[in-house]
Amino acid sequence: MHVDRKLVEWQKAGLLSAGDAAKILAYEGHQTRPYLLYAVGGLGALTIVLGLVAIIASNWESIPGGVKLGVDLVLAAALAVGLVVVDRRGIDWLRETLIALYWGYVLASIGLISQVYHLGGATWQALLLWSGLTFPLVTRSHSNGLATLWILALHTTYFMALEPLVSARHVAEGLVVGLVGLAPLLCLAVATSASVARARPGFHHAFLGLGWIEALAMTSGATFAFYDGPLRSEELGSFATAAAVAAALVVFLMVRAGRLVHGRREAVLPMRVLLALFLVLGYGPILLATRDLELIGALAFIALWAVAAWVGYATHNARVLNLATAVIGVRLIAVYFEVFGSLMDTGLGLVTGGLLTVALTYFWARKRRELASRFDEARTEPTS
Amino acid sequence: MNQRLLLVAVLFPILGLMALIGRAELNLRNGRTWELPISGYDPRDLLSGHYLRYQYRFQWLEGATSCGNGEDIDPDCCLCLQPRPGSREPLVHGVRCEAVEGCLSWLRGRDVAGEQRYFVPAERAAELEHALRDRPASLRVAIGDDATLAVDTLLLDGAPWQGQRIGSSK
Repeated sequence: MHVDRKLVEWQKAGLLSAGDAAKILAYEGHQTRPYLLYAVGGLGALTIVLGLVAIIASNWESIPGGVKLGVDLVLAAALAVGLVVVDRRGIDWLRETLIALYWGYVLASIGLISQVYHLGGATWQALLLWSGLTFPLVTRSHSNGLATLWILALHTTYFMALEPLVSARHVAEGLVVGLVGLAPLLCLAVATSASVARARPGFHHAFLGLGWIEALAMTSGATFAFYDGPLRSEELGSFATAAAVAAALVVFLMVRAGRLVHGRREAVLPMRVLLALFLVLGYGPILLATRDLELIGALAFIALWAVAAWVGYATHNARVLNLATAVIGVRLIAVYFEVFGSLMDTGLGLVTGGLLTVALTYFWARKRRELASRFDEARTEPTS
Repeated sequence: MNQRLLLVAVLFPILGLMALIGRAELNLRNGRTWELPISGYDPRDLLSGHYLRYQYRFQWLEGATSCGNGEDIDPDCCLCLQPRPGSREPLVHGVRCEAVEGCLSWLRGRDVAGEQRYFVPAERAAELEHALRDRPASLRVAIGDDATLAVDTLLLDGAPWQGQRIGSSK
């Protein structure tokens, strides 16, 4: 719709001939995916799964357990047959919807079996079984949305599996805290796989996107350990073990940094610096067991996001650049409140913070136009 | 090739679910049947969602080693079950987990320690909560030779709850 309107405008302005406009329309029509169908189909699948979970949770007494399980398996088989038929007919949106529905249905079925047989396992065990049983199914999908949901489910399983390790004291708390930080690095490691990127671009984007979001969020959070370390000194040894694994993963990612920036040479260095910061700022403050280093914490946070902005600039990703600048601005405002103390401290903090924010805004306003043209140029350059 | 992969992908979950059902059914059928006494886990709040929260209350053999009760059961201890004359509830004594040969059935402490859950229908959850608080309750279970514990049903006054009119006491 938006393209149609623009094409009419450009034709009226004499920028485009009717023939060119027709060619563009034909090309865009061919490229467009039925997003509405995908969205409505996905919503329908989600609604059905939630409905099934609610029915199962009600544990309807008048239906014997054996009948419930029989019906459950028949419905699963019907979904499987439907999926194969739809795939053969090439109805992509319905195929993706059925995969999402079947994926959720398997979890509901595991819940039903647990209910009928009063299986007393932990939630993470059910989630792990679900992830294992549906792995081949999910890999058949091309949907970005399902890939994102699937990775989120894997994360939930991972984090839930870590919790009982702490509560049952099977492993040291330090090790578990360190293992939490491996999740985004593992996502990024998967995203560097060329075969995943080639065969399942949706999964590649989901691993990459979630990996970045999580890595930035976790590292940002870890900078607050400069204020007060969360671990006791006897936990630091086990935390160091997890940090060593994280270091190995970061080295692996640094070697393959080019794949994380889609081959942009100028972005490899900032990407490597950012990866190094994930390790240094993500694990360093906790390992050093520092306390009351508020200024260092704030500077580390700003440095992290400044490098993220550098990566955004080098990869011509305006969204990352805008986000990083906004986060730095918000962190600076937070610094004002942190320095509230005596009148002199408050005054100096507000003046310094205000100057930094004005300088940041000035720099941003000046560079905006230059960046926009740089990004536009890059977009029109043929990819080599 | 893609069609074959899809076929495997859609069949795999069904086979997995069938295996899960088969294993649970086998555990229930092949194990030795016992009735294990239980009580509410937290008397102030027995019901959580759609399941009752309970803990095991074992009858420990007098003078023998005990592994504790409810939340205090030692997870590293093993429970040796012996029949009690005139009752389906076993007499229990604690043993080292390497020395369970003489036991008719045995359980790992970690499998029966602390809070346990029993799924109940939403519409009868409240009355079952009251019944668990007010009446002698036990679970009919099947215990395999490898200490696998499969829960069959909740018994109130020694009879399955499904066939009883319990009524809610407010």
